[in-house]
Amino acid sequence: MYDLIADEDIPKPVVEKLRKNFSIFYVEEEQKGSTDEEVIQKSRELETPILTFDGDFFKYSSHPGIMHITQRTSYDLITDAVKDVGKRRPAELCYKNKPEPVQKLTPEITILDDRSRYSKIHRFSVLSQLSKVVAVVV
Amino acid sequence: MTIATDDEIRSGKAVVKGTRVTVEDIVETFHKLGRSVSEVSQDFGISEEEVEEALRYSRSRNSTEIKA
Repeated sequence: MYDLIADEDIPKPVVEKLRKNFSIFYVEEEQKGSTDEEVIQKSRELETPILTFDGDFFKYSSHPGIMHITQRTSYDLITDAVKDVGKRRPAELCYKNKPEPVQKLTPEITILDDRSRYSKIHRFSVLSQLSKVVAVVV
Repeated sequence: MTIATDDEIRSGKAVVKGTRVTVEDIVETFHKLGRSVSEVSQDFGISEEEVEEALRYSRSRNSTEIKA
């Protein structure tokens, strides 16, 4: 059972740091070179959200959750941001049935609005202090 | 050729062949985060030659776009 699928675009140092707190399925190790469909399929199979820099995953209407890092920044900042999301929901990184009220989005995040036409997507949490870095969608 | 495109991988963006790592991932990590070629290589599990080719690819694309 995994807490998170780390896409291949997530640098190894970030994955190694996150593994101190979470069980990670790392695409680079397990399914290197997978197609987008194979990654989303693995996410569905494991019922585990994907951590990725790839915003194109939002084109899929059905998935357990996508934690989208919207810009490259220091590895420590990314790691802390993801851990912070994890603290909000220790058992799961993403809500599946109990969405919280959506917090105010920053301009950097509002690009996700363009993808809200996909019916299953529900933004539930954006980190306040680090909101430019991580957006979480289920 | 190390750089390839496949519509089913990263939505057709240029990637290092056999991976899901895009040229953009490499360029941003190298330039924006200031990681060395060796560090980028280790970060994404690819060779230093592949990192260098991705950087060359990006430069050549930018050059072509500027000329156009």
